[in-house]
This record gives sequence, C-alpha cells and structure tokens, in this order.
Amino acid sequence: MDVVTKDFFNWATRNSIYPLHFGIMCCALEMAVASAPRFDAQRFGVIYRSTPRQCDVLLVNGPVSKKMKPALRRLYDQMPGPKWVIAMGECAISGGPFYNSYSVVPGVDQFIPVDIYIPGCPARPEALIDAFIKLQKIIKENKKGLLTGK
Amino acid sequence: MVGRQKRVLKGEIEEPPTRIDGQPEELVIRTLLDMFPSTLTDFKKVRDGLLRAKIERRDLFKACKSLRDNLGFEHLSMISAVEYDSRFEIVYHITSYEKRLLLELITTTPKDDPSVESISAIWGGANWQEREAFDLMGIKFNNHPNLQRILLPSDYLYHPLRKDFTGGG
Repeated sequence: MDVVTKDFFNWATRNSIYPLHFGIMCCALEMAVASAPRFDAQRFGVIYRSTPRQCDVLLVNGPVSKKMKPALRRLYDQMPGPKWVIAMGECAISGGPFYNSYSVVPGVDQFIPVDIYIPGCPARPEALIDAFIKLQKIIKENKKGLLTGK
Repeated sequence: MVGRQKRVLKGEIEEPPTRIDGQPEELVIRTLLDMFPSTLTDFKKVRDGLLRAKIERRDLFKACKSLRDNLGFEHLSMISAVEYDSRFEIVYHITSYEKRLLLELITTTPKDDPSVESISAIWGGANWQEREAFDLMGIKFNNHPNLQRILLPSDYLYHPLRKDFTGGG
C-alpha cells in the first residue's frame, strides 16, 4: 500500500504548506505582502492558518523576547508532525540588531529546531517564496524520514 | 497639549487679559501651593497648558488624590522613572481634559531606598505603568495590588534599565 500512496502523500504535503499565521515584527509585513496579489504565495499552496493544529510550518519572523519564548515553544509543540520551522529575517536567526539585548533571545534555534534560514532585514517576499520552494525540495527529498517518498 | 491661543485678526482690538483666578494654570498653582506649602517646590509654568512641579514623596498620594477629586485631573497619561547619579526621579504626567492642562509632577527618591506610594488606587491606569517602572528600573511601589514583572519573565534577576546593569544577551 505504501508503494502506491507514498508519492501521493508526499506530493500532497509539499504542495499544501500551511504556515502558522503568526507575525512578530516588520518581517510579518513582508509575510503579508508575499501572499498578496503581487507575489501571490498561494500559487505554491501556501495558505496561512490561524491555529497551530492545522499547520505544517512555523514561520518565525521577528525577535522573540524572553517572555514570548515559552509561548512560541508551546505553539511549536501544538503543531502536529511532520513539521518544519523557517526562521525569517536577522532577528529570528541571531537576534539581529537586538543580539545584545537584555530581553531578546539571540536566535530562535536556541529552543526550536530550524530547517530554513532566510537572511534579510526584513527579508524580501521573493526570499520568503524561495524559502517555501526550498522547503518543498526538502519535503521531496524527505531528509527527516517522516514521510514516505523519494 | 493643545494650546489655547486666541486668534487675533487684523484691525480687531485684543481682549484684555482675564483675571488671574480665571486661568486654570494659576488656579492649580494656587490650590496646590495652599495645600502643600512645604513639600511642593519648583512650581513652574512651562508654557500654556503645561505645568511642572516637584513634590516630596511622602505627600505624593495625597496630592494626587486632591488633584483628581478637587482639581479635575481625570487622566494619568504616563509614569516614568529616571536615574540620576544621586537619586531616582519618578515623573507623572497628569492631564485634565476639561481644563486642557498637563501637570508634570516629579518626585524624588534616594538611591538606597527607591520606593514611593502607589497611586493605582487613584488612577487605575497607573497599575501597569508602575509595574513597568518596577520591572525595568526597580522602583518599589508601596501598596500596589500586584507588583510583579510585566515585560520580562518573572524569574529575571536584574532591573536592566539601571545604569549599573551591564549584562545582556
């Protein structure tokens, strides 16, 4: 049965990437414009959902403060697997301009495993779309072994 | 604050200034100085609609209560804590919509005992403002209903906006 369905499930998963609708700072505006008509990320099947239970991707876009860290970790834990994390922008990668701050976590990968990093301050919508295409490749190659596929 | 400037057209005769008690600034100055003659200092009218005064911290609660009850200052718009070399200053911006006034009330605490009376029983909006001042600057507000950290996690150890705080990251 797996032989029949594995390719189909992989194809369905990688073409319906649902990120969590979760914006922190200015990268969230780029995230919004990426799904607006001009860039139209929906043609890749990227549809933002408002609950972590329906999501595949956690898109962290902005500096995560120390007070927000447990909440974000909880959102990640609430997402059903297989799940991936995209760190968008300098703040999510390393803290960005706030790397030395007293209240900002320097890099979201300190408490959440990150699959794709998008540099930029803020990252362009093209960069975000590129990240989704790279994520599709990751799902197709199936490095995590969670999905049956090629 | 919106200034209350009268527009004087060309050719019109300018009105004579009104009596001193009619000006809300003068009224506030007089009333407050009558009530707290020894603890209220450095009263100054900065410009139209903006007053500044210093008050000692033991009279702060009483002054704020009479400001709200007798003088019609119904809104507390800001609380801020400032650190100097020898003292902490806590600045209250108290406004009155009706009289279009902003009163900048400054109280001083020594470095080794940064505590004042909480005024969140007078203006409810002071609750979170005082928590923020406690969180970042370490000012203790006595009789506050819930004096906990508001912006930083509750297990944080320092008050990061103080000058002797050098950490980060």
